[in-house]
Amino acid sequence: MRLDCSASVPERAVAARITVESGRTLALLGPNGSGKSTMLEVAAGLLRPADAHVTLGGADRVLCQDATAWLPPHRRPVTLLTQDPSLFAGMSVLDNVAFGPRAAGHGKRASREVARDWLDRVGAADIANAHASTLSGGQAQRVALARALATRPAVLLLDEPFAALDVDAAGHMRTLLSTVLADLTVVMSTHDVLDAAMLADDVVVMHDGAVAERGTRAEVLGRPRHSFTARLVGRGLVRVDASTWTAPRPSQVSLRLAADLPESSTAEDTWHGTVARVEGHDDVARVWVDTDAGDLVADVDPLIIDRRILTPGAAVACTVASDVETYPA
Amino acid sequence: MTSTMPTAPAPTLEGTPFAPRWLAVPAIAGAALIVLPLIGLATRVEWAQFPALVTSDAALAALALSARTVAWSTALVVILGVPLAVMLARLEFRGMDVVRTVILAPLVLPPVVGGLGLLYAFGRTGLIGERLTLLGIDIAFTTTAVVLAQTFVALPFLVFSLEGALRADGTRFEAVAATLGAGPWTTLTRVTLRRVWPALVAGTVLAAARALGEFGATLTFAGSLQGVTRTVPLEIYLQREADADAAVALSLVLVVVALVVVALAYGGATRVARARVASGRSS
Repeated sequence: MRLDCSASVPERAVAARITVESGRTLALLGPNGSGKSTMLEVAAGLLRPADAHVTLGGADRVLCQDATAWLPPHRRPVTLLTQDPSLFAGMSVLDNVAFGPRAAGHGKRASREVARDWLDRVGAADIANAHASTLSGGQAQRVALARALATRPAVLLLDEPFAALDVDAAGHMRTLLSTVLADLTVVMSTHDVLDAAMLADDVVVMHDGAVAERGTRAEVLGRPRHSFTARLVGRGLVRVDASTWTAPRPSQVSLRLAADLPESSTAEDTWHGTVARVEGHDDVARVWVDTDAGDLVADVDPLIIDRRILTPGAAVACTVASDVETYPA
Repeated sequence: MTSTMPTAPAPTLEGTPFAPRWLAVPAIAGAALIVLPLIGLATRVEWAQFPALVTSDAALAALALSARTVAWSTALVVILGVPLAVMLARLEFRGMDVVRTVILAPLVLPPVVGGLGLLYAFGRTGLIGERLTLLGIDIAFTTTAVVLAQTFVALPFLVFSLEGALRADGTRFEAVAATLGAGPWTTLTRVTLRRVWPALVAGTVLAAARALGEFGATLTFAGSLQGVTRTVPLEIYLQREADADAAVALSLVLVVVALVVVALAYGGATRVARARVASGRSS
């Protein structure tokens, strides 16, 4: 079901609007504190700002909140899964998953039947009778996912579903989600570009409580138009001219000291700038350069590069490979 | 994370206590102050006559009355106290601090003052009592008055134990239950109260124990009529001069009941809480 959620929450400096079309997965991409969770809480009805508008569906829409209307969270066909699985203690795994169907008024036996089915789909059928408090983080998050799916939500909201998991468990969870989310309408908040790249159809980038840009996954992640998005996906972003951008990958940019540049060289694909910061990425040094046209980033081999380049403030010349795509602003 | 966490408390190295050793002196003195009277009581019991003393007509009447009234007042405490604790913990309203302070009052008031207050509220000439009398309902100096007096003094024990637990537990799980489609009542009964169960049990037991020991408010508001309002504490007080052996025997019964109840309930609650801390960090 289509979700349209707009809200202004001055207490948290958030003002944004997100929409997701029926059957699609929207990634809400941004760092901590950018307002992702706030938007999900408004959609779920856990936060009730004075100024918000939440509707579900198209023609036969369900009005969740506007200036006068208010649908409490338990009446919204929306389920929120947070990074903390929050399984109910004192209940078996099976009864945790059966909680939603039970709350919807189904009998104990029928609810457990449904729960068993969902546990099977998330690959947790073998722990159905375990006590919720005995599970590992990865297992618990699987069960929490089954519990959320068992409510058959019209829209599933995932708030940083991998943030509390270790690398292995997060990987398994990502693979699992890529199969179970296929036909659902989903909004997933994440600070990890990989989640958006692997799971989303559409991406909304949030920055400082507002939407920085939005579009299809390929458009937003492949052709960033906001310096913040470019930084998230680990690319530089410069204006080639007034109406054209380019976002080269770190491997497509080479650096040398500005002083070493032959005086005659005024090639179009060379930008002058100063080194802003240097990060370690495995065995390469990633150098971020401020230029007049935007930021560029280059991966260099610290073993062979002139060390003066690795010093913030160094004046450098950046050369971008000729095959890098340019696109309209 | 949970699978590798030890379930036993972390061992402390011997010879490195985390408190000054001299604390033992006042600590032992404090324990002695409580234990010595109990021992003193036990040494005065006429063990040969004990069965006869606690099965006399007066003693049996008092024991039966206490059992009956404590059962009623404990039920009332739960029925009234749980909603009160939930209101205080979950709702924000003006004057909440005032309400909380007033509800705390029976904890610190001398019970005889509470009894007087009950008399002027529910007594024949009291605030509400006058109207009740017109309807043919007399509360003062009846068994109902005993139950009211016990409920009055015992209610805060449950309310504060439960309110604290509810606040500490937070609303995270309630939010989860709501997004899963559970209405407020389902959430309260199946999620919230289940999570604060140890505090509910401990609070109820404390309240029941307080009701069982109620004396001042009962005497003031309900009087001391055998089989009607003379509970065990009143019987003990009455027999204290007439038949000290009977008073001591009944006292011992109360001591044993109190110790057993507190040990069972508190032990159970503490075990549950410990188990939850040890294994439930991730849940």
